[in-house]
Amino acid sequence: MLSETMELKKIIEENHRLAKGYMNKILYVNLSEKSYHLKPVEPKTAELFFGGRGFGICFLFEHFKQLQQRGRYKNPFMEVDPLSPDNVIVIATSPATGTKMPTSGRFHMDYKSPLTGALGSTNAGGRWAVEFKKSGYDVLVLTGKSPKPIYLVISSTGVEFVKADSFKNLSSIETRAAIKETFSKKAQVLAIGAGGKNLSFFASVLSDRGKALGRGGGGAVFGSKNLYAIAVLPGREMTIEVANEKNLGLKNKSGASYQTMLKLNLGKFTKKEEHFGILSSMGSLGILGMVDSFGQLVHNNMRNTDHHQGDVRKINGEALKNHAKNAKPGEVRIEVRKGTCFNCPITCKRETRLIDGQGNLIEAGEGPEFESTALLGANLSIYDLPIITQANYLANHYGLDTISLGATIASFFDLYELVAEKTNNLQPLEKKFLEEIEGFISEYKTPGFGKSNLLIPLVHLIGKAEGIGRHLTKGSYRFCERYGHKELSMSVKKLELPAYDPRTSFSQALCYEMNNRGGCHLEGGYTAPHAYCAGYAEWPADRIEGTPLIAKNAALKNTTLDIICVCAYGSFSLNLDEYAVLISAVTGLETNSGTLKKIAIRVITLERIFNILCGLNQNDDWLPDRFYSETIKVNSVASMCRREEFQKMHYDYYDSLGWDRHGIPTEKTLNELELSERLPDKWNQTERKPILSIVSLKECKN
Amino acid sequence: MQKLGTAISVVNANNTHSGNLSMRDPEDPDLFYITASGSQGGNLIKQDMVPIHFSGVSWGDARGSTESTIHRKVLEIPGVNAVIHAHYMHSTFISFDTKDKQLFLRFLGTDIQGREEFLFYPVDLIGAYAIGGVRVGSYEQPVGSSEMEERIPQYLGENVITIVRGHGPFARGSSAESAFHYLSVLENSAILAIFLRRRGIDIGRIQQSIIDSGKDIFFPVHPGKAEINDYFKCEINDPSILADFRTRLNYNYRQSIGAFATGSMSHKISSKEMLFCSMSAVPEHFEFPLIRTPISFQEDDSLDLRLHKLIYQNTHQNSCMITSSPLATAEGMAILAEKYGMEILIEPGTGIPYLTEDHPVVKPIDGEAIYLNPRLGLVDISQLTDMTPDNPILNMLRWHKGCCIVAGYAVISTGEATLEQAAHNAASAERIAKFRCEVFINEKLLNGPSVEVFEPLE
Repeated sequence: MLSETMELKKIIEENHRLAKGYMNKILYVNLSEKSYHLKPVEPKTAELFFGGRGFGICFLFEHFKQLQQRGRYKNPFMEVDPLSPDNVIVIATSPATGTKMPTSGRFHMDYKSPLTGALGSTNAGGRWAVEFKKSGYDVLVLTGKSPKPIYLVISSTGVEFVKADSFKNLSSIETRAAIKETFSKKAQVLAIGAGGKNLSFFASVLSDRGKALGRGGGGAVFGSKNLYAIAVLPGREMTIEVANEKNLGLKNKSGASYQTMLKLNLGKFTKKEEHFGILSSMGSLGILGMVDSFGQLVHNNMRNTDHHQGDVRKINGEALKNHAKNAKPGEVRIEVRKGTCFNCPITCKRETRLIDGQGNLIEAGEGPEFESTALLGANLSIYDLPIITQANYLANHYGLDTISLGATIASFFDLYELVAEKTNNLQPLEKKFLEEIEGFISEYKTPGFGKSNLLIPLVHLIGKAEGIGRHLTKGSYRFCERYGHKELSMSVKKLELPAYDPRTSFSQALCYEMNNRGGCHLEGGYTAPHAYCAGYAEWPADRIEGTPLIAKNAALKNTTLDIICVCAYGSFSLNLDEYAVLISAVTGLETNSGTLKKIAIRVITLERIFNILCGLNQNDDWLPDRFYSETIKVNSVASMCRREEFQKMHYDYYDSLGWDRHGIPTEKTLNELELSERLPDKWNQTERKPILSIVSLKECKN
Repeated sequence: MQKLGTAISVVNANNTHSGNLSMRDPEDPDLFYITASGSQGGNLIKQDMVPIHFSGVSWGDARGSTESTIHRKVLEIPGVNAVIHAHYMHSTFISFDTKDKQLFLRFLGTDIQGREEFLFYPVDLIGAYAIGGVRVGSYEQPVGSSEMEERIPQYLGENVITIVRGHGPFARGSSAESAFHYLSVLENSAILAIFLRRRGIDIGRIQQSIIDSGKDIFFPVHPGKAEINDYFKCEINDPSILADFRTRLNYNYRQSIGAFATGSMSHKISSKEMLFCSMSAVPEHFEFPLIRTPISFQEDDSLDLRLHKLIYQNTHQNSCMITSSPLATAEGMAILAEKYGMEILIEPGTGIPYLTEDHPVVKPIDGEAIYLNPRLGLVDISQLTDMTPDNPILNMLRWHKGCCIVAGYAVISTGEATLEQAAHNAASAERIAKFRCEVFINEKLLNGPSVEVFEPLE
């Protein structure tokens, strides 16, 4: 238990120097020693990184820098195994978290990713972060490794280390339920399932029953530390002080929160169901039909976007919303109820119940969301909503990222179809592949797109790391590489791509390539919705000139949302200036979109340096060759990424952020961003170049 | 939808990306299409036409305009197949009015939530009959709000068009063309009202008089226009004739010389026959009606057609154009009021001599117009009732090079040979009025020279 130590006194003394909204406590937990201590938030750190994803990279970087200073590693960024005790997990909130600012329930987690070998960065909603912050903390930094399975119980009075031996065989959702049963139904729990315990490289951490810290294998990092869950107990809740309570009051018609709610209620994506808002009416799955109408919805491991007419209608938002109503007697049906995150009027979450033909409950849970349905359904040519829903439930139980899960299965199907077509001249690794899937084929028959009966067994195999599933847990890149066909992994930096085919939007393609955590549509910028909802639909999908700036600005916007910890969906109706008004009301700082973007540039740049130190370079900033060599037709127009033009865009993108042509931030940029002093002693831009192994364009193609 | 979007855009009724229009799917009663949010009305592409279902939410609800729920509710009114919302400058401008000023609007009252309601009543014959009194609603949130979703369908249940105060009009129709027609007529009437008000005419008095007596009593004639739809009868195949009419129709629309699907134009082709188009302003790519008809009066002839026939029966003119010409029509009203008093606009037909040596005229002040038409003929609206050779309109055309303003109605322009000659008169009349009004305003606001300084000597 924490007492009024000198440290706390120091915290209190420091408090006046921080802006409002911070609890001014960083909670450091050493899992090896089962100890914890607190530190105040340095005002300069708050000023430079603000919170959320900003704090995430700041403390992640700090940890690896300290490892280097201790002398155990020459370059810990590169040398530390992500699944070793020396990796760190940083979970961060922002000053806005838990306040009356709409959609302020989100939080961020950073770590070195086992999937990418570089930055692990992920974000989730729900209520966990709110309770964590109300317990008096801004950031949680987890180091070391518990010798035996444990879970943490955090409250305003401190941290409890609880044995979790009995949780070994529990799923993430069962773990959550068990902890709630033990402590309080109001406890908020982050938990891993078998995916994390089996060290699946794309294991997630579940918040609630379906909100996930999904991407990049954070669940495996939990598992590697024998950390099964983190619970936050409600109790002596602390007040989150804000600078202008009145401005954030929802009854104050001239206030920032009221105006924000008004805009959310007017926005087509975000407005209420009675006004036909699609997120409130159908959940995130509501956008699937639209993505398909733009010819962007991925298909058959992203070979093309050609779905048969009518297929998409079986799995879109309209289908989920009306599933129970449209189900015939004796058929499986999905009953749907709305859910939401903290202080969010959008209500995009869906709680579902799968009911069999006799009316018995098969299972209940959250989802499926849009990305899950696209990757577990459309990209596999599976158009069966109950099966996708069940696969999604299983992914949540096992704690697996549904994007990587679906994309990895797609690469398996693609690989099999490629190898099976060969009648002779099989390469040794291809023979090995056929040998290793013999058991699978004998039990389930041949894999392939459209075989919906294979989805559930495959999720089980991956979740349990059994049979071919053992190799699939390493993600699509390593799986395909194992059999000599890494080109079939639809990933960037080994992180699997989401549901929008990059050939249909070069700006989105560039965001995929440049994103620091790998192939993702959120953290690196989400330009696709600009075509649907935010206007300026006429930006040509295949335009080169100017696209790097579009991509960069999208990256800055989404990074800002992650830093201030708000939902990306809200940004369909709100711009950064409107967020800045809210942030000013919370912190009392004079904030505008410019100041927020400056922090975002700093965060992206430090993430980039983290990746460079982990061994990535500009050669990792490329989409898979498929997008540069295979043409798709969208609305009768052929489209394909063109490598020479993308190389030019890369240069322009780097330049727009103050990086050199190798994608390395320049000294000038580092000085301007006040990052120079935070870098390891041996960081030197000129020293970096020799280790980068710059390859020519021609080599890139190969 | 593409051609409508372009048509609305070319008269600057929207900025590049604003406004929205929707149409029912003719084959699927559960479906309508609406322009996408952020689409460019003047340059719509296929993906900008978003399908939306009446029966429930679909992905189109997010891609479609912010105001798609308003459209959905209006399209559910029986007989409505299209809804258009645009930000016509003058139709919006007249709604910047208040209870204590009532420059253009008549105050109707306040609802229980304190929101004010007004009425805009067109004071011109075409506007009064095409759209009548237009409700102007005030809204706390005048863009895509739930209060708009509630009240606009209610207003559009009562009339074909309504104005969102400070934002712009919404119109509905049995076809997209009819909704577009109502918007265009409203804009024409708004321009006319603004112009009159700036020329010092108390349009409130005229509006109140129309409201009190009813338009059928107030106006001496009924223009007798049929509802506009997407099919027009065209009896002419000769491409050169069609091109000639199309050129004039397109020009008049583009230059706002006429509201869409108002007015008329014709060409006399023999002593017994004429080609008649029951419109004088149509945008590019729109169809238009063109019929062959006898010059003798027929029982079901519209007001315009009878005027054309009257002219061909009694003058040597061979082409004729009647354009709603808001500026010239207003200027005619202003000059009549200045010369004969406001009463002439309330009770037309009394006290105006139409003698060779004494009759009302509009005097151009710009050199180009003076060269073409040293005077424009001017008559009051009651002359539309007279279909005899004594109608003073005929003398006006004879005396003033084939151009006559009918105050409160339109400009009648004729040519001795070609349609082009009539078009020249119509275009000139509108510019004459514009110059006169601007100089008048300069005189009043900037202490500038009076219009009379520039008028040609008698």
